[in-house]
Amino acid sequence: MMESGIFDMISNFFYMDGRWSYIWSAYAVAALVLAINVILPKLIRGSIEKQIRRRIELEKE
Amino acid sequence: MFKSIKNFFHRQGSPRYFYQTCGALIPWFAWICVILMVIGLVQGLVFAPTAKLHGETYRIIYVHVPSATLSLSIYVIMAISAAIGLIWHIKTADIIAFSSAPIGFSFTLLALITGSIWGYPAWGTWWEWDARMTSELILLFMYAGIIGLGLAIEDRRTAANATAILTLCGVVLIPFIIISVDPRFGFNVLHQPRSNLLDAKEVAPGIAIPWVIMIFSFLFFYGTVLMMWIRNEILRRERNTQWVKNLVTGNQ
Repeated sequence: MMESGIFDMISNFFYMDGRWSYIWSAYAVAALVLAINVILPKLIRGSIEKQIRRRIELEKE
Repeated sequence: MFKSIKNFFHRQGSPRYFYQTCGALIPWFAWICVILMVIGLVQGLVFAPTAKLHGETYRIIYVHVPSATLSLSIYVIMAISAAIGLIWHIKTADIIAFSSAPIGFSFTLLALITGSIWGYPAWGTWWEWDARMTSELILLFMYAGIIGLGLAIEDRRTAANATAILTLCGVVLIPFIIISVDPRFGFNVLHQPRSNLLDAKEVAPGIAIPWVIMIFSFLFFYGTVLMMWIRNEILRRERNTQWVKNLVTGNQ
C-alpha cells in the first residue's frame, strides 16, 4: 500500500513533493500552539507571584 | 508498602503536597516529551515512507492526530476530575479539571486548523460541515464556555461546581465525535474513518510507529503543561496561606 519514500536530498525534504506550504504551515501552527502552552502559564505565574509580593508588602506597611 | 502508597495518594489531596509533587514531576515529563517528540518527528518527517493515496501531505498526521486525540482525552480527564470534585469536594480534582480547559481548547483548535490545512489538498476544501468537523468545533466551543464560566464566577467553590456541571453535560459529545466517522453508525462523511494502527495492511509500520510515538509525546506535553497550570492555580487559591507567602518571598 505504501511506497518507500525516504528523501535523497535535503531540498527534496523541504520541498515535500510540492506540498511544502501545507505541511510546513501545519507544523508552524503546531509549534506556535505548543510554545503558547509553555509560555502562557509561565507569564501567569509571574503575575501571580507579583500580586502576592505586593500584598505581603502592603501587609507589612 | 501498600500503606505508604495509600498515604502518598492521600497527601496529594492537600494542595501544598500536590504543588511539590507537580514541581518534582515536571522536569521528568518535559524530558520524556522532548525525547519522544524528536524521535517521532525525525521518524515521521524524514524516514516514514510516502503514502500512496495522500503523497507527502499525510505527514501532517503527526501533529493532527495527536492533537485531536488530546482534545478528546483531555475532555474525558476533565469530566472525571469534575465528577470527583463535585461528589467528594476534593480540591485537587477541581484544580485538575479547571487547569485542563485552556490546554484542551488549544489542542482542539490545533486539530481543527491542521485538519483544515490537510483538508484542502486532500479534499479540495478547507472546511466541510460534516459530523466529525462540526462536532469537534462544538467541542472547541464547550472548552471556551467552561473557561469563560470558570473565570466569570468569583467564588472558587461555586465556579468549580458550575464548570463541573457544564463539563459533565458536554461529555455526551465525546462518544459522538468518536463514532462520527464510522459508516456502521450511518456516518458517510468526508473525513476518513479511524485507522487501525495495529493492522500493517492498513497502516505501514514505518508510518504507524512514529504516529504512536507522537501521540505519547503529546500526552507527556499535556502532563507537563497541566502541572504548570496546576501549580499556578494552587498559588492563586492558597495565596493567603503562610507556605505560599514563604515560597514567593524565598523564605522556604
